[in-house]
Amino acid sequence: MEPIITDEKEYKLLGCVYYGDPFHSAKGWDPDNEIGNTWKRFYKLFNQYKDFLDKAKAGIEFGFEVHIEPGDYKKKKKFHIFVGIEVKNYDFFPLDMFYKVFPKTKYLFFTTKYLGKGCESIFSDWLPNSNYEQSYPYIMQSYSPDRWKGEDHPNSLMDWYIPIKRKKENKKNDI
Amino acid sequence: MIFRDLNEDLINSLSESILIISKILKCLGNEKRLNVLIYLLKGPLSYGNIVKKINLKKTAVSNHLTHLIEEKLIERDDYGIYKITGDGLEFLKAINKAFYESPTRMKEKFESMQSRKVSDSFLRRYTG
Repeated sequence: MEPIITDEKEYKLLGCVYYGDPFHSAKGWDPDNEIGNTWKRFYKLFNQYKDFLDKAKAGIEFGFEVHIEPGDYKKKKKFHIFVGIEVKNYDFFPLDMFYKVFPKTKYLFFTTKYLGKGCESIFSDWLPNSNYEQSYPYIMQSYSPDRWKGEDHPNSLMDWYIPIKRKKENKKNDI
Repeated sequence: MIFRDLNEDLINSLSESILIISKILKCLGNEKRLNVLIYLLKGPLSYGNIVKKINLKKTAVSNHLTHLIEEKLIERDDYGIYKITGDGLEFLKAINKAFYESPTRMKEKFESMQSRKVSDSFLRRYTG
C-alpha cells in the first residue's frame, strides 16, 4: 500500500516501559527478548485492570509498540521500548503503568507483513524523495484488528507510524 | 490550602480593578498600538518618525497615540516627542513573560528542542 500522511495527532499511551538493550537475551523477533517481555508485562497488567482500561482505552488498536532513540544511543546502544494502548484523558492511571504523551506531529502511516521486511524503501527512497522528514527520534508500530490476525497468521499485517514534518525547502512535486 | 489562597488573592485583586484592566488590555490588544510601544522601547520618537515606522495615515496614527496616552502607556513632552511610560514598560514586560512562559509556548519550545530524526545506526535495525 502507498504510505499515507496523517493529520497531526498527539498520541497518549498507557503501558509499560523498558530501557536497555532489548536483544541482550534474545534477538530480533524472538518473543523472549525484552520487547516480548515488555508485552507480556503489559498483557498481565491489562488483564489485571481490564475493567478500568476498557473504559480508558481510546482507538481500536490492540496496542502500540514505540522504539524511542535516546540522545546517547550511538554510544550506549540502549533505547526505550514503550508498549501500551491509546487512552483518553484521565486524572489517574494504575501506579504500575506508565503514561506517555507523544508530541503532536504528522505521521507517515504504512503497513507491512509481520516479521517481514518492508520498511526499508520508506527510509531509503520514499522519505528522502518527499517533502517530509522525520520529526522526532522514535518509531511507532501498532496492531489493528482490521489487519492483525495474530503472530502465527501468515497474512498478519502490522502498522507503522513514522513521525514526520515538512522539510524546510519546498520541492516541485508536493507529495 | 495555600493554592486556594493564592487564587483567592488573584480573584479579589483582578475583580477590584477589572474595568481599568479591561481598558488597558483593549488598548494593548491592537497590533499597531503594540508596535508603537515596541518601537518606543528603543527610545523616544517624534510623531513624524512614528508615522513612518507604523505606515498608517496620520489620522489613524494620531488616534492610536491618543489611546495609548489615555491609558498612560506613553506620554508626549512639550516638544512633541513620544516616549514609553513606566506603565507601558511594565505591561510589555508582563505580556512578554506571560506569552513566553505560558504552558503552550513552553511545550512548543520543548518539542522543538527534541525534534530530530532517528540516527542511521538506530534505523539499521529496521532496514537491515
